[in-house]
Amino acid sequence: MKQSLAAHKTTISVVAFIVLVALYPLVFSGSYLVGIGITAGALAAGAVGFVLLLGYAHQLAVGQAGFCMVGGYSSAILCVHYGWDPFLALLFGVALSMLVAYPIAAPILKLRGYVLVMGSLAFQLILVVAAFELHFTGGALGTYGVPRFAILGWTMGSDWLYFYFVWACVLVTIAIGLNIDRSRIGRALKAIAVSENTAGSVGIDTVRYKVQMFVISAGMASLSGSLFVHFLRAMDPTVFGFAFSLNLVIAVIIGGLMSIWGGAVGATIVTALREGLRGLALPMWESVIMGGLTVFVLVVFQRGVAGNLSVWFDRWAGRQAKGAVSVVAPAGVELPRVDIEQGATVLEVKNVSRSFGSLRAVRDVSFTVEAGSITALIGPNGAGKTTLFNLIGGYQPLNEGAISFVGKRIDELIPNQIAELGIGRTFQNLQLFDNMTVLENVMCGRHRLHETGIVSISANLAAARKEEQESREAALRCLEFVGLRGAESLPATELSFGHMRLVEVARALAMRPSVLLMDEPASGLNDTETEQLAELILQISALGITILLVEHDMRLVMGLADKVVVMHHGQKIADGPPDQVRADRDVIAAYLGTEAHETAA
Amino acid sequence: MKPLLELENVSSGYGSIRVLHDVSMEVRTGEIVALIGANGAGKSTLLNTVMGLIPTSSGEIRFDGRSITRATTAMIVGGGIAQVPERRQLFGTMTVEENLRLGAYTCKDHATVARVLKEQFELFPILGERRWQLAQTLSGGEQQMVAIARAMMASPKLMLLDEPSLGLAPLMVERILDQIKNLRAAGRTLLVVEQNARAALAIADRGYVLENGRITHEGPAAALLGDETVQEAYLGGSGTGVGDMEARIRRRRREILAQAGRIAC
Repeated sequence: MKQSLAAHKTTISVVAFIVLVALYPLVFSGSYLVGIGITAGALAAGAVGFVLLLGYAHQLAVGQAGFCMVGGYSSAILCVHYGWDPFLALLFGVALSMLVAYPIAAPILKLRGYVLVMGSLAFQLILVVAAFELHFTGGALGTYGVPRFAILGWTMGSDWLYFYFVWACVLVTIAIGLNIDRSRIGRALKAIAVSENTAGSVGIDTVRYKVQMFVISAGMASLSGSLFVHFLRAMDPTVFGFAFSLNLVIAVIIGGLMSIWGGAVGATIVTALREGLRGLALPMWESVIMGGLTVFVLVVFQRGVAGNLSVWFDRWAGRQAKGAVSVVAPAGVELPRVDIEQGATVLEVKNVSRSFGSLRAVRDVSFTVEAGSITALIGPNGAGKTTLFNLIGGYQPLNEGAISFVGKRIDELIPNQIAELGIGRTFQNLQLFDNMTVLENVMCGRHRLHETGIVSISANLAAARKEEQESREAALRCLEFVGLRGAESLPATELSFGHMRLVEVARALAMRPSVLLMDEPASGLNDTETEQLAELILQISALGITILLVEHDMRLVMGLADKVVVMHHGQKIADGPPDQVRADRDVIAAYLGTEAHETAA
Repeated sequence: MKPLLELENVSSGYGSIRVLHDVSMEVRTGEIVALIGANGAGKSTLLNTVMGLIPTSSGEIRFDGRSITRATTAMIVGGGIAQVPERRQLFGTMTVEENLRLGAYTCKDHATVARVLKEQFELFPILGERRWQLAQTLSGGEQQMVAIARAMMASPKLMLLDEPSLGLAPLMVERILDQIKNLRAAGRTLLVVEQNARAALAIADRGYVLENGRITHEGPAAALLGDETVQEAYLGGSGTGVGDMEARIRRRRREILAQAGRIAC
């Protein structure tokens, strides 16, 4: 019973939401209290957008209230001066805001941290000043006489009717938010929040999704502005000032940054508290208490009210209990083979150099990787292996030379573009997304194979649902391939170290890569696990996937590799089959060190 | 002679990963001991365990006759062990002298600090010449000297050196090793962790070989230098226990490649 409740958390939340909204005007029937309900709802619509921007995209663009002004003035001016239907004016405001947000998103989101805060506040300030100075906004006096809200001529004659409309709008924003949350875009945003580098390694474009959230959040802010204006029945430049921005921030922090519901919950709490405290007629205490509460939530209650409710619910329903890892022999399941002509040069590193200041980390290194082969890159500490790996993956630019993938230059590309081509990688220090389950981590690998966009995802269209289902099944097959079945619903960080490494391999396999770069896959594994890893690497190789690995465990390198490339002091000193390399005098000297008197000579 | 540092069946690791397995070793007063092994063998983990940066999961570590298994890093440093970290970790935008003074941060007596600072400049004359230069403008070898001198500022009984030759040109490696011999002459006891086995064993009295978190060889440095199994510890090999896994992996590789219709080379 409890278990089945757990599976329907979203349905339960929606039902609770509808019941509470439906009952509110019946219980709190006075026009003052219904009015408070309307302001809470209008704030909630903006706050849900702010959760997407702040909680999901991690962009503290606090000037988002500027888009509330765009919406507010669109509604006020179009309805008062041009006699538009309020509903159409509202839609116009939303469209205008999103249109304005799109071109300014990329430059403004280039800013980071407090500079972004200042930049976006400056944007809001420009709008406030413009509203004061421009003629058509009505200047400091604003625009008065905004009509009651109406949809295509049908006027909402009473406040409680408008109350229901406002909260219906909130439900729409929540639905969009939830659709994004459980889609590949939601996963991409969570991945970016953990590490932009790792997100790039599976082909996630880090700028694109931040821009999308900025635009969606602008639309929701505009909606919030329009809803407010039809309640206030007037619009002036001070309505959506700095204080309102702060209100939005406090609402999402208290409600829960990483929960779509947090926006609505937080907006309700903040509005209720403000009104309640106003009754004390002590304006100072209102600010002090709101500020104190924000700090309290930030320090001891970081998930916010909605986030904690969700965790408590899960715990009560025992949702975390299921899922024990049952490790099976790897490769019990078939994955699609990679079609690439065996033996052709798939990766070519040609005269590559890279310096850091005076340190020449990689000097004039050239080698090739043949399709379908296992190639190992070895060398003592500080030899430049990791640097070379990062150059191939696009994490750092080259100083000289060229890197080609099936004949095409890739050294100008950035990590997610390289991943897009089908070059997957695993990391030396595990880089799992710790805010997602095992299955979600692996599904992130499918990112480059997806086609549905933000519109069909927001509306949860059939195409998006179908793709999500395919993605889930493919990710499960990858988990099965690496031998991890039953672990899919566990948080990624609850697995043992060896199993986490396998999840990372599964995530890379979900990309359907033609080349897999593995950075020290055996580090931290014991002997048994190392030998299991060797088996897995061989099974991956049997799929036709080309493997390039950096590794220190010589048993693994010498046992697996077709070709070994040895680096020392940034240069390649040997390259060939394992037994030839092992007997090489330079290689032995590099590993054991040369005798001091020899080098002095 | 009584051991200054003694490890008895020490195991440790990071979270659920065990890196060191039942390691036992000792460093006697006035010795230079080399701890060698390939990348990832657990050498740095061992130093970090001694320094209390990583908790010991089982076994006992004693320093100067007292157990330091559960001591904090601050207590261990106060007790007389100084670590020269891998890759030096200097404060690049501070001068050489400021870096050195930080090494005696806990010493409040100005006269003592001035005296040990002077000693360092006698031991490393090049640093005296460059005392006002920013640490980041020094060459790699000079930076290594700053790191060693900084550790010396606390007048430790035992110094742990983590890969002092890392990233240095061969001639510089030799100069650093000479300096390490001078430190012993100045009364220090040293545990040197090195990947450059020949260089480390050339200056050491005794050595230990660490392989996959276990001590596999120990003995006088000269004996280890001539031992062929030491070479195998680095490059793998055939016939010994280490080679078994390699042979098994190779066999599986041939089987799988044959199944996939490809020719194993």
